Amino acid sequence: MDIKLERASFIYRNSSINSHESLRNINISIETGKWISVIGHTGSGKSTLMKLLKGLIAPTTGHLLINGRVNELSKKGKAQIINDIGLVFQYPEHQLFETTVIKDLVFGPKNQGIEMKEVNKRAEEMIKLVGLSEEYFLKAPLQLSGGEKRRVAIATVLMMNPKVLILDEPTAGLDPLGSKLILQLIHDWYKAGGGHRTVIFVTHEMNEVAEYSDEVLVMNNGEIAFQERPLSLFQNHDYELKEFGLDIPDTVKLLQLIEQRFGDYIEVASLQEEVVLKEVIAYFKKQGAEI
Amino acid sequence: MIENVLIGQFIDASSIFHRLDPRSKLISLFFIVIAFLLIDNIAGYLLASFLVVVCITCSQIPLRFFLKGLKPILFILAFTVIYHILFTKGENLLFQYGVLSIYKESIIDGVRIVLRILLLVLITSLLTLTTKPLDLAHGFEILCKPLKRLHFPVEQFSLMLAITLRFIPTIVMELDKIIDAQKARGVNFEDKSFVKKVFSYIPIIVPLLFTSIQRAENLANAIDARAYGDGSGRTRFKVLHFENRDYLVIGASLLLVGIFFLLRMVGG
Amino acid sequence: MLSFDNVSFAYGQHLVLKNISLQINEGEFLTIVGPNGSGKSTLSKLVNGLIQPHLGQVLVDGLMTQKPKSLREIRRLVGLIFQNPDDQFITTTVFDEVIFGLENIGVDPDNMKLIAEDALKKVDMLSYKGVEPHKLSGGQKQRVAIAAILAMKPKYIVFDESTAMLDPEGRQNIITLMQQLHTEGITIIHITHHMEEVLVATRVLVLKDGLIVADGTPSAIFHNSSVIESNELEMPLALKLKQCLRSTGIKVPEQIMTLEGVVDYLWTSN
Repeated sequence: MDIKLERASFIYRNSSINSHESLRNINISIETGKWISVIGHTGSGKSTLMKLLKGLIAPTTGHLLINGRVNELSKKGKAQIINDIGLVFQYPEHQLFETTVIKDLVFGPKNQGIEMKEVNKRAEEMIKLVGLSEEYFLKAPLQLSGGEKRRVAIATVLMMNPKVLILDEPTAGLDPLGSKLILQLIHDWYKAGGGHRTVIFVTHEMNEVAEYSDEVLVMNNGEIAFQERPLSLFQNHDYELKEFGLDIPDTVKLLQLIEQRFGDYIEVASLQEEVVLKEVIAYFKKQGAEI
Repeated sequence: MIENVLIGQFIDASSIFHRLDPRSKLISLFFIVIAFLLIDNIAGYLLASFLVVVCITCSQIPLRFFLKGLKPILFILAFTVIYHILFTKGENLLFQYGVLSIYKESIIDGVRIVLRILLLVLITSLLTLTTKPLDLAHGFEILCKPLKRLHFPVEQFSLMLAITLRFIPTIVMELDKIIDAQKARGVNFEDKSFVKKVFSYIPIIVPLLFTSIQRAENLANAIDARAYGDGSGRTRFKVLHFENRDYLVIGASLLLVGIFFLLRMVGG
Repeated sequence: MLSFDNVSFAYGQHLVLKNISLQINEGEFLTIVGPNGSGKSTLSKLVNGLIQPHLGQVLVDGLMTQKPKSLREIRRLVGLIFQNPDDQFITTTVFDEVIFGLENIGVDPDNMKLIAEDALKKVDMLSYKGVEPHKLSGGQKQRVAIAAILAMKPKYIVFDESTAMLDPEGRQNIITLMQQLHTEGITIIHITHHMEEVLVATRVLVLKDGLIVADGTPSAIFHNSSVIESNELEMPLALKLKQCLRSTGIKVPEQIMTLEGVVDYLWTSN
């Protein structure tokens, strides 16, 4: 599913509280099968943008296009929610409300009117995908640990079988292991789509951006500052990113330090930790051999 | 939704109402409410409306903030008018159709009651819009001090009041977020049937309750961690003291009670 | 000095701290790490007397947290900054927030304005004096919370995952502020999941299942690979790099912990 925003803006109605989260002149194109990271300072409009993409709010001006077709407003002039896009809000475990995990899992698909047989099949699949087992079905969400709750909450969205998954800071507040499990499960879901699933991932962790993304959307004061591949973004625009209150991944820092000291720029295929470490070690081996 | 919430929204300006002592505002409000409740004729309503308009103008607060505050009670107002028109009887029949009969008096009654509610809400909004919640609570605390002798926890109660006011916008924002999240999970709030509508709100009420309890617990910890203790032995940064204008306002509001009482006598 | 003597604490049946003994000296910058549910937050609440140990005792400069009479002084001495910036903003403006604590500890009203402005200046928030909380970013709110505590002239400040909800700039600001306060003589206790934040500490404590499983300098902790692996901590890139270099025969000294340090070392030894 391709998603496009054309000259889209969103202005909060004369509200003093959210007004700084407004959006101006957004032109983006998100292609099927990409992993897009979205970064930006607090209040840069990331959350508003996610709501716009999901169709929870309608652009004040401009259009949202899904597969090239404009997402028209409903008869009442309201935005139309796009079912093929799953949206996981910040701290999604706060939205669990049923007495058991299974009830929360089937809630979404039931709202969509999907057959019970299919729903149950999905539930069995999803609970495994998020690294839990069917034993969890009858547990109360409140009994689970923070990380488990978060994984169940993500599963409730995956239960609706989206083609695009939007996640707003899915690892916030978790310990390193908890974060790793979340990233793993999103990656598993993404890979299982065989290039047909899209991930839009809002985060403050630059290392997560370096590890996973095909493209990065940088937001600043309600505008899109950059939409670029991570390699060129972090290497060419590190100064601007600092200005925006953002940071660069550790791997980029390492490459820059080596360049400053040794005067050599090490070519890497991606900014993933494993890749960069391998290249850096190879470089120092060569250096050592030359001495 | 956040735009519709008035209570607890302090709007900064430098009007006379902003500068008044919260205690004098509370006392005056008390008197003005009594005065407005005494109204029973057109002259009274005209005078009261005039006063409210003058006050709102002097407050330097844009009118839209007052209007926003009225939105949530529109339903109650409409209901009151309709109820009066349909179900009360008078002498001058205007219109009859089957069992339905509408009297001139009931229309007048309905309009009067709505006008009275409107005036009361507006004048109360004036207090909350021009007074910081904490000041309000502080004023309330001092006014209630005599109750302390009866072992009424005045300090704690006033802090509770202040925090309630402070957190209303936060909780409304939370509510907005939960509604969006549950919409994203396919909840349909447009459902026509009443029963379905009620059930569709469970996914909102339950999470809101949980997050609010969590928030309350965090907040209690934060207050304790800042050495609030049992509220005793505190000093106060703002020592409230009455200025001439405070006596003036209280005097004026007391005078209003007299005027409206007279109007009622004369008019009646 | 903060001391825990054989402290145990349970929520219901669940024992979260198991017979902990620990001393934190003045002037330390202590970072506490460990998985969720390991008892870190419980530890921070015990120090401030928000909760009392079920067994053993907690002493703050010799004052027992179990004695209600000591609590006001203990809470003045030990400031506590929480994770969620919204849930610890009690009043309606930045200035009032700082005043609130001063009122609680009974400061003379005549001195309050000066003290509060001083504290706000320290965290660079003085120009936001009259601003309401919903107009501030998370990082700004946390700075106000710090000012509110600084105004009470604490000796110890506990940061309970206070950087977890912030954006990169907000987080960096808070870390810098911690370091600055530490150099000014305040004892810092910092609970975090971010391993790169550990490097600025003078001492690291690793907690797991209510037990202290490691206690030492950052370099000692990070070079104890069994601690890192068994406690599910993430190693900073600099240490991963050092490990890789070691396998190629390049040994970077233990005390070098940052990327900059490693690259510099390689350059000078080259």
